[in-house]
Amino acid sequence: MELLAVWHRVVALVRRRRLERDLDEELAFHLAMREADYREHGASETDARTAARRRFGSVAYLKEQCRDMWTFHPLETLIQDVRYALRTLRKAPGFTIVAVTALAVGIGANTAIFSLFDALRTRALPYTDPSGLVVLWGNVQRARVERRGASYPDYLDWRAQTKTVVLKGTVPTAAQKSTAEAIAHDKAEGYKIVNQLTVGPKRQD
Amino acid sequence: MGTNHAPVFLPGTLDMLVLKTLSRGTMHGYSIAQFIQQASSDVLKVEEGALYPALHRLEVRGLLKAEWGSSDNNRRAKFYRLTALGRRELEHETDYWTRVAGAVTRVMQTA
Repeated sequence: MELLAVWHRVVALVRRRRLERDLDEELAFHLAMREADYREHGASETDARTAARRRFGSVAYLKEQCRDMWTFHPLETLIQDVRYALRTLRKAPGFTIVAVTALAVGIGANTAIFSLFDALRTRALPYTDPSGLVVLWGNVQRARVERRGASYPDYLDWRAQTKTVVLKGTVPTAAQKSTAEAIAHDKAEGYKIVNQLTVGPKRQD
Repeated sequence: MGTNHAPVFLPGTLDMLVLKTLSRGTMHGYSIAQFIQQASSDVLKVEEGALYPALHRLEVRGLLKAEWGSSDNNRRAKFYRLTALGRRELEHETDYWTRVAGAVTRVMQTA
């Protein structure tokens, strides 16, 4: 009947004071009966009381045992510890302020940095295959070999000529707002647009 | 403290004695202790410090039901009553006790 025992404890959480009073009354009754018994057998009143109490053993221990049956002992000790900690903190306000401030600053800084990091790096790029994004550039011989940027026609050439990778589409660089704008820019510069490709669909976040 | 206690070596014994006592009718804690003492010819004096935890234990397990009532001399007392579950548990415990006590006796009677 483990369930019943747990139920009792739950109920006891609420009715705690009444249970304590009940137990007290029950024990008082027993003690009184025991006393009356001794008196019937001829003992004096005080003798009877001390004898009865002695036979009763340790009342405190007995109450503790009964209490064990209707408490969530770990939970109760936890609550008591928390209360004690709060009381102690209230008595030393200087320390408390410093500690709380330090914690607040630490937690706040961490949260801020993580949010920043999260926004910049770990948020997936809104394209279907973000890990497949590559940067391509050409090399040009000037005074020494230098990189040069890639243009849309470059992309088309490379796509047509490469035998090792499949180029599926382009995405605008930070400098351009969209592939359309990039194409428009290239058109303006006089490049010939042979084909227009659609970029892979943007992932809905 | 009394010099004779309810037997401690079998932990369920006191519970069983209480169940048996209550199978004879509804009683309060003091009557239970008295009955056990008298029925055992003063051999078993139940220490009250053991009786009340036992009673509460049995109540939590659902073997007893407790109600407040008034005693013979019109004082408020808590009366305990055996439940159906308690009755069944009493049977089990009696069987177990008979077996164990018989076994112990047999061993002790060997030469």
